[in-house]
Amino acid sequence: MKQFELKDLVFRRSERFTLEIDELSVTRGEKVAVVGPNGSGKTTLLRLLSFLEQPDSWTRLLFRGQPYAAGRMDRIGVGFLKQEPLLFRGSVAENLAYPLKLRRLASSEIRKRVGAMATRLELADLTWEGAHRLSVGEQRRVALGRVLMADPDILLLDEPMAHLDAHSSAVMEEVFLKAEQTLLLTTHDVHLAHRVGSRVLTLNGGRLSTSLSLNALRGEVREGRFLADPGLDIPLPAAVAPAGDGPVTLILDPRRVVIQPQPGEPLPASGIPPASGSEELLRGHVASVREQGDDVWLEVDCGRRLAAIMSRAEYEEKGLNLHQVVVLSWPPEAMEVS
Amino acid sequence: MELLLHSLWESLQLIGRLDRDLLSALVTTLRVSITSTAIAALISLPLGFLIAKSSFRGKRAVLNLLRTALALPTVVVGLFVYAFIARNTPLGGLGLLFTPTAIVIGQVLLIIPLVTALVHSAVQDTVHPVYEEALLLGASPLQASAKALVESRLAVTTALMTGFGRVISEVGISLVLGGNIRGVTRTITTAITLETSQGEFAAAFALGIVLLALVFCISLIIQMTDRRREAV
Repeated sequence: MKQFELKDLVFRRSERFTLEIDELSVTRGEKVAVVGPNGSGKTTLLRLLSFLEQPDSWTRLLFRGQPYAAGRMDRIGVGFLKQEPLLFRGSVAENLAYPLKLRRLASSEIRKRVGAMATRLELADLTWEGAHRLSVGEQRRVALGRVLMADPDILLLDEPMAHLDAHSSAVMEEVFLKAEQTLLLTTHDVHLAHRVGSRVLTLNGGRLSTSLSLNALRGEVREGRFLADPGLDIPLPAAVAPAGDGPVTLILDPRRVVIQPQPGEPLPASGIPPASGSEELLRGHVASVREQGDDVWLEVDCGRRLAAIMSRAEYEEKGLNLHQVVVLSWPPEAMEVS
Repeated sequence: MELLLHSLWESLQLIGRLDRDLLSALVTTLRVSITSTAIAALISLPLGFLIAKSSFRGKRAVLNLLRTALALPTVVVGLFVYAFIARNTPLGGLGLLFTPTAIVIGQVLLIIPLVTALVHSAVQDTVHPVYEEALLLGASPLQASAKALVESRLAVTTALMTGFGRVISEVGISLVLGGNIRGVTRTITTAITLETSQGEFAAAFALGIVLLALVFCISLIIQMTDRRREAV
């Protein structure tokens, strides 16, 4: 069953920004990650899906099969963790208990569930601490716990790991990976998106696309090298390479992909340029360019399309153009194999 | 200085010997002030909240009107209510004039704009995010509104305390609508007026000191309660 079905949805937040979704559907239990830079419309998308905002127009907008009706949507079952969640005054336990008190559960049941959730999110020692006295990471875990206490079957997560310490990130990621709920997560972290999401989408300038999922390359590891069609052969540094050979997914962080123009090089006739002999280098041509705030997003066709993000200043300095032949390289830390 | 010291001594004596008139004025003062503040709270809390939460044409004008009403002279409010409850007036038959109820009506009208304006200021920054967060966690609009008020409780308490301070210290309404009847509608402030008019300045000062001590004690209790809540 589809949880959300959107078609030709338009939301004008201001004269300068419009969110346009050509098509998006999310099935029950699916984990969708949406990657995009600041100001691309990620939060707006989640606010629309949690009915906090009303779209301006649409041709199809269904929630659990029911047509959207402004101001009359039943939000029950939709949990929304905001990027900067607001914790209520009082202790961690009081915050966690709030959704249960709304449902008028017995005190003993509330205590039991609060204790279990605090343990699950490694907050057991902080249960009676004032929620506002906790660190950012702890506060975010409390907010996540409070959302989960409402027992949602859809989880909307807006940049849940932004500015978090490693421990809190790990605890929360574990929850997301084990979650049985339908999950829609926004992030600017491509690696996180691919680790958590079964589908990764890109939101860029208010438009949704699947381009960044192309930075997740499916192939196999053989003797420390990543091999994939068509003719991709990428050496893996020891820190990244898995213990044994076999099928893997290689994820490249588009912000760390470096593009160097190759002036005078003709456009390869085949459209599938050969991989360079140099390590971690691919040749291709610029297939699309899109400006997003101070960033420029490019897609380079190397046989497989790869996305790269750079600052506008860097883009102008390099004099890159559409269809230009370029060489891609990246540092080892841009790679992640799963 | 001598007058002040004498007044302080006299006020201690008044309290010490549990003066019947003082106790009666004290009880009347507390009774009408607490009742007025409670009734005004029932009206002003939702009103201030609604104004903060909604956006409507003329909102600024409403807020300006409320702020203007903060400067309402108590005697004008007293005269306004008098025009409705005096004999041969629309509500004259109810026999409200010169009763504690009449004082309460006047005081409620006096502090509704004050408490509404202060509640609006107190919750305008928090109302939207708290309301939204509560809704997302499954609260009904009414529960979410209550949560937004609870989250602003310190500022809301201050608003109510300010309203209470205004009514406990006012004299115009109590005098015009209450009539300063001994043992019935005489409050501490009207008693001060009476003592002053009779040239009993020390007694008037003594009553003033009792009034201040009363407000101080109430304020202290509320502060301590808030501090305990804040400690969590």
